[in-house]
Amino acid sequence: MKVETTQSPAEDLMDPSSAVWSDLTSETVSLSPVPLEAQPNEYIRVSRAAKPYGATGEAVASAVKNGEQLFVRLEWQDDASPNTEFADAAAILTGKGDEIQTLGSEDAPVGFWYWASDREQSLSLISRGPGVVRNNADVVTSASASLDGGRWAVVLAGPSSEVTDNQIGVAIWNGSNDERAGLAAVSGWLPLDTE
Amino acid sequence: MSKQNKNRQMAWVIDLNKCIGCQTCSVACKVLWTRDDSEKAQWWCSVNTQPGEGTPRGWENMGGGYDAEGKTSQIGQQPTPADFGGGFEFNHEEVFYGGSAGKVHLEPQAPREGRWAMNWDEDQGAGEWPNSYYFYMPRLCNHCSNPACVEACPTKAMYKSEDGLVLRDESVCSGGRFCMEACPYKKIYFNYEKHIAQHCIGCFPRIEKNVAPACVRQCPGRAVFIGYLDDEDSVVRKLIMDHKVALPLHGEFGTAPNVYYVPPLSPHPLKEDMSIDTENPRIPPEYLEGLFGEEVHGVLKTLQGEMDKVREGGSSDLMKTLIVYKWHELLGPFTADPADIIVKG
Amino acid sequence: MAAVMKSEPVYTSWKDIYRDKWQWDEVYWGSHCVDCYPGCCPMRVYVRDGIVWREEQSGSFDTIEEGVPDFNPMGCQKGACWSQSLYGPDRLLYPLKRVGERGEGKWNRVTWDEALTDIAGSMLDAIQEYGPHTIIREGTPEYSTVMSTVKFMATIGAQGIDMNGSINDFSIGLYETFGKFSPVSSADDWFHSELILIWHMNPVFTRIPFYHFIAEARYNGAEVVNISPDINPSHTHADYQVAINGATDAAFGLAIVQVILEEKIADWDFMREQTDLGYLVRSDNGKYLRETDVTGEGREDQMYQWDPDSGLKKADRGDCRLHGLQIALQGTFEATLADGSKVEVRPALELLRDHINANYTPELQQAITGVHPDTIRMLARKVAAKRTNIMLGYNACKFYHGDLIERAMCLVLAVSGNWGKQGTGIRSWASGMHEGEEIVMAKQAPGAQAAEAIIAAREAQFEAYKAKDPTATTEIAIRDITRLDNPPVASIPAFFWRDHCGYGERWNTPGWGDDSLPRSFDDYMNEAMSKGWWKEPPKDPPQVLIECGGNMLRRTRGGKTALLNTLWPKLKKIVTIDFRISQTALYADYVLPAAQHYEKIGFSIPTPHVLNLNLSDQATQPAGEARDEWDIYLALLKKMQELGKERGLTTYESYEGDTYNLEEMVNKYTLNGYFQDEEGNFDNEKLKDEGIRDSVLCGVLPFGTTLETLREEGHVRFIDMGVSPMGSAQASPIEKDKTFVPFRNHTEQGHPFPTYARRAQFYIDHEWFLEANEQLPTYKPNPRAGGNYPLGMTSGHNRWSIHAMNQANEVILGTHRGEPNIMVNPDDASDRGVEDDGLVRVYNDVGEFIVRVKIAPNVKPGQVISYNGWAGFQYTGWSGANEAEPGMVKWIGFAGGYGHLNHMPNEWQPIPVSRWTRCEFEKVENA
Repeated sequence: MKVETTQSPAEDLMDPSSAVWSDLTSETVSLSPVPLEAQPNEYIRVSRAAKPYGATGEAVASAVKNGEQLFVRLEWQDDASPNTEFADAAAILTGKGDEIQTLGSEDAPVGFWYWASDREQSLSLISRGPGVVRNNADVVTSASASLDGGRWAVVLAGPSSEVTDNQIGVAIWNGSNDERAGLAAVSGWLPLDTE
Repeated sequence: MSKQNKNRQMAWVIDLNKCIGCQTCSVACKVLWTRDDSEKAQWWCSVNTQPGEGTPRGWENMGGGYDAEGKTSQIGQQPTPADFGGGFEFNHEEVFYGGSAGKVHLEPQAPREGRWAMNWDEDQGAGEWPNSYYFYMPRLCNHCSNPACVEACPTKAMYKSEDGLVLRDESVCSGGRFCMEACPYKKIYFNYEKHIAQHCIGCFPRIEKNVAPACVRQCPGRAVFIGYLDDEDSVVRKLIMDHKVALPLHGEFGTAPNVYYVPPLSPHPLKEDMSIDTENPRIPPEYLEGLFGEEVHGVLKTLQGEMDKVREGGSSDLMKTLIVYKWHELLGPFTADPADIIVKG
Repeated sequence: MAAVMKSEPVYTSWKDIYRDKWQWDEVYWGSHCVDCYPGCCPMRVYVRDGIVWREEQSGSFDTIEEGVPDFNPMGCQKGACWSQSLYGPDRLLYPLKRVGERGEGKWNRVTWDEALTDIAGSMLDAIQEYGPHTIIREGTPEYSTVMSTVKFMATIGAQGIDMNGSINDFSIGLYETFGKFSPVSSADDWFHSELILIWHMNPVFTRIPFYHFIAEARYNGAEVVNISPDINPSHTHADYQVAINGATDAAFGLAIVQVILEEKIADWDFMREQTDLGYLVRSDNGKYLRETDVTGEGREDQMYQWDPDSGLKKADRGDCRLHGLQIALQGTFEATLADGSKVEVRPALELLRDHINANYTPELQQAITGVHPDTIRMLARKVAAKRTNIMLGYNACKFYHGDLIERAMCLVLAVSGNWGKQGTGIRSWASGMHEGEEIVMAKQAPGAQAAEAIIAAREAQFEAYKAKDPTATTEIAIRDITRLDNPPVASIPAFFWRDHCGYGERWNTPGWGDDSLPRSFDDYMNEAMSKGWWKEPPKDPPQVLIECGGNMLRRTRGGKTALLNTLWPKLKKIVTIDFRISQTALYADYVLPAAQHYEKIGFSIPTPHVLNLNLSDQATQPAGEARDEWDIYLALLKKMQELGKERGLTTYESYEGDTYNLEEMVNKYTLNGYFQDEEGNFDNEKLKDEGIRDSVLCGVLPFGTTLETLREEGHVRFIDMGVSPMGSAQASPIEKDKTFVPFRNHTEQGHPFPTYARRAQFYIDHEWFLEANEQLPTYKPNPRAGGNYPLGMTSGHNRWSIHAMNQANEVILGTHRGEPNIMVNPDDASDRGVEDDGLVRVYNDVGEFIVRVKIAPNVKPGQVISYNGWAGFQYTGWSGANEAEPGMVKWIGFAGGYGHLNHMPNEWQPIPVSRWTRCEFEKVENA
C-alpha cells in the first residue's frame, strides 16, 4: 500500500470524508475469519462452532504519513442489520510474525490501533491471540469514523514508529453479528510502500 | 487463623427458611458498590420470588455452564439489558416543580412494552388460592469452584482469588462478554459506559479487613452464613458437609457453585373441603427438586424431623445452628466491626 | 473529530477502585427517627468529604438473655439506603413559596425571612380573628419532629388533632378489654413462644428487623400459624396457613374459645383472677350485679363474684388474686337486692358459653369464616397447651368492627392463660419511655433541681389519687389523671373530621355503618354530647395548618379530594415543614426545608420492642438552607414576636381562656435562652443532653447516662418503664438479663387492670354495648362501606417504604416495579379483561383512583390489596387509594361515662377505618 507523506493538518486527516483522502490511492484488502481452532478457550470454540463470524470479506484501505504519525483510512460495507449489544470495530495491526491470522500469539504479539463505534476514544492494545488483549499505555492512538449508507469510513492514527517490518494488518468486527474479541475478520500483513 | 492462606474456598449458606425477601442484601450491595449512573440497572445481589422469572428474566433457561460432570462447556445466551430490566429514570423534577397540577405523576420513564425489573414478579408466585405458594431466594455470584466464566474469558481478566472468590481484573477486561454467556447463573452485568463486565466482588475490600460481606453482615433476617469450607469449625462447613442441609442451586450446571441454600419448608396446603392436608407441603417438592436436585427431599425431611424433635422436647444441634444465638456465628472469621476501622488517612 | 489523547488504561490497580468505594473520614451513630415503628435500628453513618456516603447496621446489641438470640443486626433495605434520600431528587433545600394555584406545582424560591414573615403574619391574623386554636396541626408520631412541634403549638396555644384520631393505630379492642391498648413484649421475647399466631399482621413486610425471632422461635420448637384471607408473604415460613374470609376473625377466635371451654382445657384459675368472667351478671337486665344494687349505696363499679362456700363476694378492685379461692365460673345463683327482692345472677362466663355455643361452634363458624372445623379444634388444643403469642398488627383496628375482632383475640388468650409470662401475649405499640424529654418540656429552669421538682410533684399527684382510691395502682392513677387533665383542644378527636372536613354525611350513610342498630349514627353522637361524655370542640374554621412530620393528604382516610374541597378552602395558610417533597407539600402554600435525620441530633422512637434509647447523631450539616425543626419554630416565634410588636399585639387568650404573651414565648420555648447557642439559634444538642439526664433522674435510664456516653455506646437499655401512660401500661418490670413481657404486675402481683371492672373485661355492660349486642365479644359482618360493590379492598404496610418515605428514593424504586399497584386474583382480573401491569380504575361511591394491576394467585378471589404507603403523586392525577376509603368511624367509639370508656388522648375515641371497603375495578386504556 502506497503511503504518501503529507503536510495536511492532523485535523483534516482525522476526517474520513476529507478531500485529502479522496486524492490518495486506495487498496482493497481481503479479510478472513480468525480460525475457530485458534480461539482461546473451549467455551468460545464450542459456542462458535455453528455460528460463523468474521464475514467482513474486504475493506478498502489507504494510508498517509504526517511527520511521525501514520494515518490509515478504512472503508467497508457494514452488515446493516440493527444491533445494540456489540459495537462495530476495526483495528490496524502492527507487528511481525506469521500469526496475524490469530491476532498475534504469546510469542509474537501484535499491536492494535483499535476503534469501536461505542467508544469515544480509540484504544491502543497488545494482542497475544484471539481476544487476548491488554491495554498498551505506551502508544497513543486516535480515531474518527463516519457511517454513510451502511458504509463505515474510519481513520485510525498512531505513531509510525510502532510499525515494524513496514507492514500493517487490518481487523474488522461486525457488531451486529456479535463479533468481538477473537471473533473477527483479519487480513494478512500488508506491506507499506512509504515514500 | 489467617485468612490469607492460599487456595481456600469461601462459601455462603443462605437459609431460605429465614429469608423474607426484604432486599436489604440487594440494597446494601448496591449502595456500596454499584451507585454510578452506569451501574444503575446492576444488582449484584438480588432477591426474587420463587417460582418466578428471576433476575435476569428467565435466566434458568439461558444455558451456559457445563454438563453435570462439569466437563463439557454448554452454549449460553448473553442476558440483555431488557432481560435484566430496571435502571429506570424517573421524572421527579417535572412532577415536583413542573407546574403540571397533577397531570404528570412520578413513574418510570421507560417504554411499557416489555418492561421488566429486578424484582418485577415479587410476591406473585404460583398455584391457586388458597394453595398458592412462593418463597424468596437471594442470588449473588456463586464464586464457583469450576467457574465457566473464568474459562470463557479470552483476556484472562477473570480468576479465582486466594480466598476462592471469582474476581475480574477490570483493567484487563476487554468487554468481550463471553463470561455472561458462559455463566449459567447469569449474575454478570455489562457496563456500557465503562465497556467492562461487572459482578459481585465478594466484598473483597471488606474481607481484607476481616469484615463480612455486606449481604451477610447486613442481612436483618440473619439468613446468610459465610466461612471457609476447609475450616473445620466453620458453620458453613457444618451445614453443608456435616448436617448436609445446604444444597447448591442447579448443581447440574456443573460449575460447583459456592453459594448453598437451606431449602424452604412450607405450610401445608388445604384440601378441597378446606381442611388441612397435613401430609404434604404447599410448595411442590418436584419444584424444589428442579432447583436443588434430588437431595432436596432428604434435606426437607431432615429439617422437618429435627424441628419436630425439638417440638417434642428434644434437642437438635442442627436447629441450634440455624437459630444463630449470637449474630457473629453467621460471619465466620469476618467479625470485625467496620466502624472500628480507619481506612482513610 | 476525536481528540488525540493518550489512551492509557483507566486503572492503575482495579482493586483500588473498589477499596476506595469503602472509605470514609468519620463515623457517627445514626438511626431513622421517623414514624418507623418499632424502628430503633442502630446504624453507623459513614461520612466522607462532609457527605453522608452510606450507612450500615451497627450490630452492636449485647445478648440480653442467654439462650435467646440477640437483636443484631437490626435494619432493613430502607435504612440501608436512607442516605440516598438525603441527596435525592425529592430533597428540599430551600424555602419554597407557591405561585399559581394550590397544587399547581409552581414554586418560587424565597428567603427564610420572607417565608417566616408571611407565615407569622397569617398566624397572628388567625389569632386576632378567632384565637390560636384555629392554628392546627395533625397528630403524628414522627419522632424527630413531634417534640418541637408540640412544644411550639403549646407555646402559642394552638390546636392538635389527636394522633390516633389521625393515623388510627389504636387497638381499640385491646383498650376495651384491658383499659389500655398498648401491651408490647420485647421482640426477643417472641423466641420464647411455643405457638405464634400471626393474625392481622404481616411481619415479613412490617417487622423486617425482628422477623428472625419468629423464624428462630420456630427452630426452637414453636409452631407458626398465619391467619389471613390472602396467602400473604408471612405465610412463607409458617407451619399452617388459615385462609380466612375477610373480617370474620371474631367468629374464628370465638370458635377457638368455644372448643377450649367445651373440651375443658381452659386455664380456669387464670380466668378467675385476670378476667371479669367470674363476675356475676343479673339475668333480669343483663347488667353486672353492683354494690349499689345489693346495698343501695356504695360504688356502682363494685361488682361481685360467687364464693362456693360463702356466696356473694365483692370482687377486689385493688387485687386480682384469689389465693386459691375457686370462685364460680358456672352455675345460676340468687342474689338479694337492697330492696329485699331476689334476682338471678350468673357468672359472665356462663353468658359467654351460651353465646358461643349457640353461634360459634367449629361447625357453625365455618359458614362465616370458611375455616374447617378440624382446623379450629387443632388450633384450640394447641392454644390451650402452648405458650401462645398473637402477633397482632395495626390492621384489625382499621376494620369497622375491629374492636370485636380484637376482643375475641384477647379472649382466646384469656381462656388459655396466655399473658403476663414469657412467650405469650398480644401486641400493639407503645412508646413514651424516654420521660426526660417530657420533663424538659415542663421545666421552669435547667438542671436537676427543676427536674426533681417536677418528678416530686408528679409523684405527689399519684399518691394523692391513690389516697383517694386505695384500690388504685400507680398505673390506674396515671391513666385517670391523664384523662382528666386533657383539654380537648390539645388533642381533638374525630370531631375535627366531622366539623371541618364534611365526614358527618358519610358516617350517617345507611349501609356503611352497623345497620343492626336501632338508632342512627347522629342519634348516638348527640346522646354522647348531651351526656357530657365529650367536650364540644371549638367550631371556628381552621385558619393555618402547620404540617410537620405528617402527610395529611396522602394518609387521611377519606381522600385528598375531600380535604381539598372542605378543609383547604378554609385555610388561609398551609405550611409544610419537611426534608422532602411530600404529597401534602405539593398542595401547600409554603414548603420549608427541614434537616434530615442524619443532619440533626435525635432518637428513634423508644419502644418496649427494643427497650433501648438509640442515638441518631448529627453526622453532617443540613444540606442547602435546611434547618432543624426546633430552630425553624424558634425563628417563627421570633418573627411572631416582631410582627406582634408592629401590630401592638402583646397578649391574647386561648380557647380555654389562658393568657399567652408574645413577649415571653421565645423564653418559654428556649427555657429562658438556655437552649440557644451563641448566635441565638436553637441548641438541640443541649436539649437532648438535658432530656437524657432527666430520664436518669426519672429512673428510666441507668445512672451516669449522658449524651457523651451515648455517643460512645450508641444506645442504652432502659431500666424501668416509668410513669408515662404507655410505659406504665406495660405493667411489668424490666430485668437486665430477661426478655420483656408486659402485664406481669397483673399476673404476678395481682395489680388490677385499669378498666371499669378492674379486670380484663370481656363483659361490657355499658348501655350502648348492650343495645348493640356487643356486651360480649361477638361477630358482626363488615358493613358495606363505600357502596354495594363486589370487591373488598384491604391494605397494610408495604415492604418498600416507611409510609410514603422512600417512595421517591431511586434505590428503593429499583427494588420493585417503580410505581403503585393493586394486587388482585387472576380470576377477578380475567373477568374484567385485565392483564398483569394493566391499568385500571378502582371506584366506589366514595371516589376513585387509577392504578396498575399486579395479578397474583395468593390474593383471595374478591379481594383487592392496595398496600399502603405509595405517595399520591405516584398515581394518575396525584390521587391515591385513600380516594376510595370512606373514613368511617364506629359509633361505639363515642361511648363514655363508663370507667375506661371515657375520652383519653391517643386512646379512647372513635377512629376512622378503611379496611375491606367495597369497590369495583375496570380496565382503562393507557393514557
